[in-house]
Amino acid sequence: MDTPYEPGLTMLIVEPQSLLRRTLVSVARELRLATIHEASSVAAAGRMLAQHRLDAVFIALDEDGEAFELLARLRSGQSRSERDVAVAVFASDCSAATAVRLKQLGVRRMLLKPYKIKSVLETIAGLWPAHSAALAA
Amino acid sequence: MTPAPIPDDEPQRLGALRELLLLDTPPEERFDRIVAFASSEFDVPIALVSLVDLNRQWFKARVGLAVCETARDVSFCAHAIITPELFVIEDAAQDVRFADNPLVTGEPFIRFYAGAPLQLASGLRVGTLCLADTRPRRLDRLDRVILTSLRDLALEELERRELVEAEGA
Repeated sequence: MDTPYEPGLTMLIVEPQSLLRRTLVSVARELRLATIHEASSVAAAGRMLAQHRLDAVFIALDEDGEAFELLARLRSGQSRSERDVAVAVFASDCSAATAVRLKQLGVRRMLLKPYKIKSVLETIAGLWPAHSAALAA
Repeated sequence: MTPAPIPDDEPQRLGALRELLLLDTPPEERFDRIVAFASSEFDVPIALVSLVDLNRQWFKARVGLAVCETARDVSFCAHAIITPELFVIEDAAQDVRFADNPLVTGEPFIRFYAGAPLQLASGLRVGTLCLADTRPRRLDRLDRVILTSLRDLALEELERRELVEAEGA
């Protein structure tokens, strides 16, 4: 589902938990923060990567490792976005091995679940301060 | 204590509320998830989907309260439904309308309240998604946007039920 609003940033949010995802998208829409694409699964996200040029990807890590595979494809240029597109992940936990793998994939931020919507917004403000005037409290 | 005024559209409002067929129904996960999420997001002990009935407010979903209803004349939500905007009381102990309210002076010792009115497509406000805390608080702009978004999701659930019933009619 697409939410075309602010032309500055285009981001994809991949989060299977419906309430989290819908709230995040709704808040981003209200703040006119970015054009938001949302996906409830990695498979759906894969299709969106083929369709849209993105500035950022927020993706929940899954037990099957499909999110890692998606990020690897992203980094190898198998999408319409730049290889170095900013990526942040949502994770239930993070082992040392996971942290190393995330580092190798160029992940710039990690939010441990249960994360707060406000934390995601602060992450966005940290990554794109020039586009985050809407987040000024 | 100042009881909330009665809205001008009270008969229509009560009619719309009852047509939702939600009063006195069992808890539902779709609403429970929203109040649990709100409680966690805002770090407040109390979050409710409250429906303002004739003489009571009844909680369709609740976190942090043992009772399923309270009297309307002590209800913060009865004030919140008067206008469509967020209704925020940063410190009830300092507000002449609420300082001697039994919900402030006794259990659950409310100091902070924020209610987002549940306004149906008809314009009638049947209740709130609300937060309460036992300490004074402020909501910044992002907090207000997040609460409003959660309220919109709760409202979608109310209206989705209405839609299903209309389709089935």
